[in-house]
Amino acid sequence: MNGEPIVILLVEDDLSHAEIVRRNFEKFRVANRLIHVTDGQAALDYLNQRNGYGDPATSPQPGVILLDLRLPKVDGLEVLKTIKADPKLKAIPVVILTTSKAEIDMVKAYAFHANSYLVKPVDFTQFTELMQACGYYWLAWNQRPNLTPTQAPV
Amino acid sequence: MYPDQSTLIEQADLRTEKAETLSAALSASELSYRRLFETAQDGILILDAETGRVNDVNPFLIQLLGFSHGDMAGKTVGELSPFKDVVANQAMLERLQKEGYIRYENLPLETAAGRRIEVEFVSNLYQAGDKKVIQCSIRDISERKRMEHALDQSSRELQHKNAELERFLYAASHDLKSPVVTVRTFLGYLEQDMASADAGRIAKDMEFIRAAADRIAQLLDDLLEISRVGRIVNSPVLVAFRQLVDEALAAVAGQIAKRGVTVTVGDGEAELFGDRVRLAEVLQNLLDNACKFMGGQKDPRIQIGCAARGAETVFFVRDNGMGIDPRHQAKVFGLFEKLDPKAEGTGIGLSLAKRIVELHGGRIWVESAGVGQGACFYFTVPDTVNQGKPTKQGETI
Repeated sequence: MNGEPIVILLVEDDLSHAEIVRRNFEKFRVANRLIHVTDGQAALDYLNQRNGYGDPATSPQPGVILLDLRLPKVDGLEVLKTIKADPKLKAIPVVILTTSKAEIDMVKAYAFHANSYLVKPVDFTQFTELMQACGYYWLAWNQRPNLTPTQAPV
Repeated sequence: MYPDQSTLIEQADLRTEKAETLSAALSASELSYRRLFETAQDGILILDAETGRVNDVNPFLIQLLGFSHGDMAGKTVGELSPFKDVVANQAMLERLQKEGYIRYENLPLETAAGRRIEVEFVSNLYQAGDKKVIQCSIRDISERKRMEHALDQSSRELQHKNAELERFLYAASHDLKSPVVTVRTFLGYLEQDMASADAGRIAKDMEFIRAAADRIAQLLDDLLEISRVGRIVNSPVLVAFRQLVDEALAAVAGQIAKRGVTVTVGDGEAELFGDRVRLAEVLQNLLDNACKFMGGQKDPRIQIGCAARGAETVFFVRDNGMGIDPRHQAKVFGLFEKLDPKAEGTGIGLSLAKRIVELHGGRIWVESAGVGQGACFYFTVPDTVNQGKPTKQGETI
């Protein structure tokens, strides 16, 4: 397992859903940091380090992004498309976390290079299990390089 | 030997009789064809195959085109003014000689009276005794075309409605599911927190559950409301714009007073034709929206008016509030879309306004230079009488 702390960017407009993610990730929190923004525009501003997110000390680049789809201002799919079209951002794993089971959303999400697509279950136990599994997978088991794509030797 | 004279006479009589019968049959046949020609409910032209000139024209075509027999006889089809620029005589003759048959599915024509009609035009070349003739049948298909067009139109409208319904169901199901997820998940937490008697967490869990339940109730109310629009329709009436403004202002008076908004109403005049209650709701929702998004504005102002823009009358509600980033302007009319997740309500006001305006055949849009620049919402209702006069001399909107 990678001992490096991971910054998680949670893009979620529903405050109660953000609370659910926060509670589930509490156990991984010793080493990791959860940053929560509530709309798609704020997510893009954060990732591009502008509009109040300019300081890399307080707004570090995330190791994984949890992205809801139906978001104010800029839609989740639009955020995903923008991230994956940006050479500086496209290597960051994006996990879609949504209530939408709509085929069209899944097709579009994968077409825009989502790294995973998770549907929020309407059941406490299942939601908890999903968040635990997701936390272990992305925060503990998943390996990340130390260099950014632009630093890596060709 | 000469044959018997009486036999000869008998034979001659027989022949005369035969010829008379034949001639009678011929004229009977000619008469019936003539009747067919004269009573046909399609236009018929008989042309000389050599020259393409009109030999005969039936009454139906005379009636349809509004030209007399004399106007048409002796002319080529291309010379007949309704067919001018449509049928080139020489080309038609050559094709008929080669193929024996020509069919134009859909010829637009203008009658003598200037009425535009569409016809199906079929020409056949055939041998009549020692001469070749061309027979043209001309069928008026204007009505059929009109029906086809209407069918096309309604099919497009249906497709549009279907797509709208699909978007509606998508938004509704997603937005209703979210608070259900919240309720069920926090009920789980509540159980755990009660077992460990964590009073602080219990209070928080309850708060999340209550907020989500409230949201479900609100969403259901709003869904019901938006489904009523278009389903329950008050008969359309003619109503003065000023009157709608007064009604809408009365409905939002509380908010206007609370926020200390100065409202000015332009002196433009217009009358709208439509569902009076719903049209007032459009204004009410726009005013409500303007009050809600005044931001930190210390001198909040709303201006309401109507004005001529090009050929149409536009109604507008302008505010000097927080404004809308041009990138997000398309989203504001979406069902349950909120630019600010912390804003009150479910985000139905503008979708409701849009739905009402569109049911009246109008358009609604917003113009804003950006955040902090205020916003102006415009809408049109096609059945507007009286051109809206500019609200003030020289003022642009």
